[in-house]
Order: sequence, then C-alpha cells, then structure tokens
Amino acid sequence: MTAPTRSLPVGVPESDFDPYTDEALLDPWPGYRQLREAGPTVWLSKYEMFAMTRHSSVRRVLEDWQTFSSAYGVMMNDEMNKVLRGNTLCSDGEQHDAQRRVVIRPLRPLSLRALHDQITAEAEQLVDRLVAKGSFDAATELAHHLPLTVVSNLIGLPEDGREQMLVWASEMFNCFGPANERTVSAFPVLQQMVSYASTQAVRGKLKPGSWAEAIHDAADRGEISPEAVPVMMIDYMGPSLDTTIFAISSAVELFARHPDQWDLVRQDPSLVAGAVEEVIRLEAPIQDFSRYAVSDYDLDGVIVPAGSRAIVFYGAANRDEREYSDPDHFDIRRTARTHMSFGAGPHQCVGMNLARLEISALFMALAKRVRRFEVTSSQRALHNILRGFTQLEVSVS
Amino acid sequence: MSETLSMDSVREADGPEQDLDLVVEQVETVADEVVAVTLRRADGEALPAWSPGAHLDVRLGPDIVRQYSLCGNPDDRDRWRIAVLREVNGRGGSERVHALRSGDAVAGRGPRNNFKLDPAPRYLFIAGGIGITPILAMITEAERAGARWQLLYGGRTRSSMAFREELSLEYPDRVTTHPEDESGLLDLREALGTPIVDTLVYCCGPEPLLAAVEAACVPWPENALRIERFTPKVIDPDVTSADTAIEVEFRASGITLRVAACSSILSAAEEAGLPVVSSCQEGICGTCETAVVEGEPDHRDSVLSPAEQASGEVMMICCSWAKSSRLVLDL
Repeated sequence: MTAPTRSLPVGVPESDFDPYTDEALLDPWPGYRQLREAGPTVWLSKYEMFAMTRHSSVRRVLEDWQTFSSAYGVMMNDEMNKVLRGNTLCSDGEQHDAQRRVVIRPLRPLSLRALHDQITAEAEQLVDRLVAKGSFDAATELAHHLPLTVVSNLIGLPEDGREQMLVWASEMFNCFGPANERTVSAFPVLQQMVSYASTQAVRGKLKPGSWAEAIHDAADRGEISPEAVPVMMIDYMGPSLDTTIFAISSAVELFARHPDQWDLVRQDPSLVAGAVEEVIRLEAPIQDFSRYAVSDYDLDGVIVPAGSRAIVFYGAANRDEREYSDPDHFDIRRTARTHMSFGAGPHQCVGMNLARLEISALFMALAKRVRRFEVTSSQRALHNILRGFTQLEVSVS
Repeated sequence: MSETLSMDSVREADGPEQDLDLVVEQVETVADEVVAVTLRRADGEALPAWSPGAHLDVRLGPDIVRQYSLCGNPDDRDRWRIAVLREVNGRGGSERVHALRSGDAVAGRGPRNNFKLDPAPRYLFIAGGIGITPILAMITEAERAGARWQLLYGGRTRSSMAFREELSLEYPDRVTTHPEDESGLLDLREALGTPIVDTLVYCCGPEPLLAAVEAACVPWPENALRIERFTPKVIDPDVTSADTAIEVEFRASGITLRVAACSSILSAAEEAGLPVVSSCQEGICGTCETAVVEGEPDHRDSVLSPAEQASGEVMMICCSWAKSSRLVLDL
C-alpha cells in the first residue's frame, strides 16, 4: 500500500541511504545533508518512500494537508497505520479539527497559566534535591519528574499500569518506523498500550476532572464520535512523555558541551525560552513522521505521485543550510522560531506550550544553582523515531 | 480496534483544488426553472476526485464567479453535474448558466468542500428547494456506506422540486417531500424535536429554512448540525462589518491601538512591542489565545468550539477580528 501504484516518474533523485540503521540513528546529520543536497525530495529505494529533508519541503508537505493526508496514518508501516486510525494525529479535515479542539483545550495558554506556579515549584524542589547530591542522571532523575508525575496526573489515567507508560510510549514511537526489527519487536508492547486505553482509560477509572475524562465528556456532548475515544487517549498517552524527556536530556548534554552558552543563560535567565527553542531545533526529539500523497504534487520540480508515502524529517529540516546560517552550531541567541520540531500546519504539536513550560521551568531552576555540567557517562537511545539519551550521568558544580 | 472506527465508511478525500477548463456536455431541464448541466474537461482528461458536499466555482463572466454544489456521481471521473435554479432577483449568474448550451467552454475551479459528510451511523438530511443539490450526492454516499438516513425535502410546488420524483421512487421509505402548496412547510418540530445522539443533521436551502433548523437544533449535541449557506449569513447591521478598522485596548499593557482592516491584532501587538507569543498564525495551534475583557470577537479560528466562541471570553488574536468596533484584551 505504501509503494506507489505507478512507476517512479523521471527526474526523481534516488538514494540507497538508510536512515534507520544503528549508525544513521546515532549520527543522522551527514545522511540528512546528503539527502538535502540531492534534491527537494529524494526516493529512498530501500523503503520505497520519499524523504523530505529540506526545510521548505517539510513545511510545504505539513501545511498542504489536502494533498499530504494524515488519515492514512503518519507512520512508516501499514500495520501501525491501521492501529492508530482515527486518532487526532491520524485524521484530516473536520473530524480532525473537532478532535483537536477537544485535545488542545487543557493545553491552551490560558489553561496552562493555571499550571505555571505548580510546575515552577515542582521544578525548583526537584533541582534543589538533585543539585544537593552533586551528581545525578539527567536522562531519568531530572527529565522524568515533570512529565511522569505532574503531567500524568493531569491526564488522569488510573495509577494501575501507569508505571508501564514510559515503556509503552517509547515503544509506540518505535512502531512509527518502517517495518524493521525495532518496529516488529515493539508491536506486542504497543498492543498492551492500546488495550490499556480501551479497558482502563474508561469512565470510573479515570481521575474525575482529568484531561482524559474530558475526552469522554466531549463524546457525550456529541463533539466527537464515541468510537474515537480510545484512540484519542493515545493522543495524550503517547506524546506527553519521551518527547519532553528526551528534549531535557539533550539540553543538558548541549549545555555540558557548550559552557559559554550556559554562561549566557546563567547571566540572563530571560534567554531560557530562546535556548529551549535552539535545543529542540538542533536535537528534534521526534525526528520524523510521514504523510500519504492523495494526489500528484509538484515539489520544486520533482513530482511526488499520488499514492506515495513521504517521510518528513523534522531533524533534517532544522539543520538546512538554506534556512539557517551555520546550522550545526548551537547558538541560544538565534531568535527564529522557525524550527520544525513541533511540526507545522493543522497537526502542529498540541502539547508544545506545555513542553516549553516544563523544560523552561527546569532550566530556570538550574540556572540559579548550576555553574557547570560535566557528563561522566552517557547512553544515547537507539530508537527509530526519537532522539535523546536513556542515560546521562552528570556532575554539577 | 480499527474495525470499530468508521473512518472509511464515507468518502472524504477531495482531489486538489485546481483551475479547470471545462466543456458543457449537456443541459437538461430537471424542474421548473432548474437546469442540470453536465461538464467534462476540455482536454478529455479525468476530473479530480470529489466527495459529497463539494462545490465548483464557475466563472461566468469577468467578475461573475458562482459556487455550485456537485450533484452527480463521484465515481464518474469523466463528468461533473451541477443543477442551477434561475434566480429572478439574482445577480445574473444563474441567467448565464441557463443560457449555456452543449459544447460551450466554461472556466471553473474546484473541487472545494466546506460541507463534508462526516461518518455517522445515521443522518437526517433537510433540503429546501435547490438546496437538494449537495444533499443528493450525500444520499448516494450514505446509502453506499450502509448508514440509516431520512430526507425531508421541501419546495414551493411539486414541479419546482428537482430530482423529487427519482428520490421518491427510489427511496419511498426514506424520503418525505413537502410541496408547500399541497402540504405546507416542513414540520421541523416533528423532525428535530428530540435530539438523537448518533445522528448528524445536514441542511441546505434558503435562509429562512436554515434559521429555523438552527433554532430547532439548539438542544442537539454541539456539531450535530451541518449547514451550507448559499447566500452569506445576514450580518446584524448594528455591529461593525468584519473587515473595517477596530480599536483594541491592551489593558494589562495600558496601550490602545487602531488596528487597520486586513491586518491582524497579533501583528499590531507585536509591532507595539507587547509580549505576545504566536506560532501558526492561522488559528490552528492556539498559542496566541488571549482573554477578552470587553467587546465581541469575530472568531475565525479552528481551535475554539462553537460554545467557546459564543461565550466570547477568549480569542485567537492571529486570525480573529471584532464584531464590535472596540475590543479590550487582557494583554
């Protein structure tokens, strides 16, 4: 189904580069550069899908949702595209808009304002505790706390099984990849998550007044279809954890390697907001999703035929030389918020303002207490889609 | 789990909207003052895919572009059909359609769909007069998807109601027709008096019918009613028309600005150096949500639900405007 129904049009650049090998996942940048240089889009012969790696290509595909549909799934394998059918991520048009209105409600700025003090206080206490120890694992001890306690509570899933959530969320994203070993071995875990969403994320088991319960309420009011409720639980369960967690670990690692940039933040904490954007520009926590072309599309002279799947590499767009000067350089004073890490168009990340709030709160707290980070040991995640660290031991002074 | 979702049950994908050189294949009178016009592509190629509710822009003169719902068979990629009522007091578009003859060239643009048929187990279709056109394609699709549906179809007289006979013959149990001179107006109280949770109501027709259906659907679930208006909604003359300059007071900042027509409140605030954040700038992401202290917003975003829009408490300042001449924002 993902292979084009017609033969590849002439003039399409091809590449046998495989972005999903261990080597490419750990260091994707040279491969991305090669693909960007090859053209506005490149046919990945191994997967029979198009790769969009230039900033302008990624943006255009994400904004033109009528051509590049999400309703056929945004993953790189058909199996997974079936499983998540009908959630907000994998839908278009009015159905999408109606569901998105429900999911985004507690994540809008005026709703988040009410959480600001709580998240700031939690961040201050956590950082106090960790800095007092002198060394800690930034990928777990620092990065897990806000997403796993505060945010999970707001979502309101039953405590039973919540400890599994971290594994589930990570494996769910592994299932977004092409049908490789990582994807296949993650499938059984994903099934547990889907089954939890249908059997546990139900009325009576959810925390009263929680975000998850509000999805049920919206279905009762007829705002969304009742059938969409279980998959919409995954709209909250899936993306609220690893993405933020990995961004936090990447930030610590970048500041450890670039003490001059950390000094800027320490001297002027108002730079934290911009620094967060620069961290996720360089190290997009989600590197790629995909779209399905429902009609032929001319992308800067290259025809993407109807029936093809197009992978949009956010991480590659963020380092496009055509968009950013010295794109591999970490410079927290870049002010452009043009990175693609939260996507663009109708599916732009619903949780982006919450993520910004969580990450900023932690680094505001760290800026007051930490002069230097030193990484003593680290382990990068080997993951189809996500980028960050599973372990990042740091000592702080 | 995917089996329980009815995503695929109705056709939803429209081809890309595009300029089309069309040729009239046939013009046929289908009711008093109503002609059905069949169009093909001038180059003989296949037409873009469309879904029920889609319409076509037809260019009928240098400054005359009219929208007509597609009412043929979506599976027929060779021809599109529109049906057009001659409007005696119209602005001249319908006259020109009635003057078309087989072989005439027509420039068009489409398909565009602002009236999509969303998946549902049950539909109640309500059509008034020529408003039957989008409903006709929806009925075919609902039938194909195996949904349960009913049609209430009103018109002035039997002979003025296009496609009445075919519909009554083909679906005698599902179609109720009300020629006004015989059986009076549609009984909306009977049809809409009790909200039905799994039913979507699709209505197209003249403004008085739409207004009556909107009023009758107030107790229905939010979003249950889907309407397409052929003429713009009547704007209350007391409120400022949408795209004139407005005055915006940013109360927390102590600044009042005159915001020019066709600009945005967000960009005015940014230019004045106010601490605003935004992202998509088209009413999708919700980042620029701002509390409204006074005044009536004219919402144009896709973030807020109709109820939230109606409350007027918050607005997206990147794309929304004001119905009142002045807004006071908590910014």
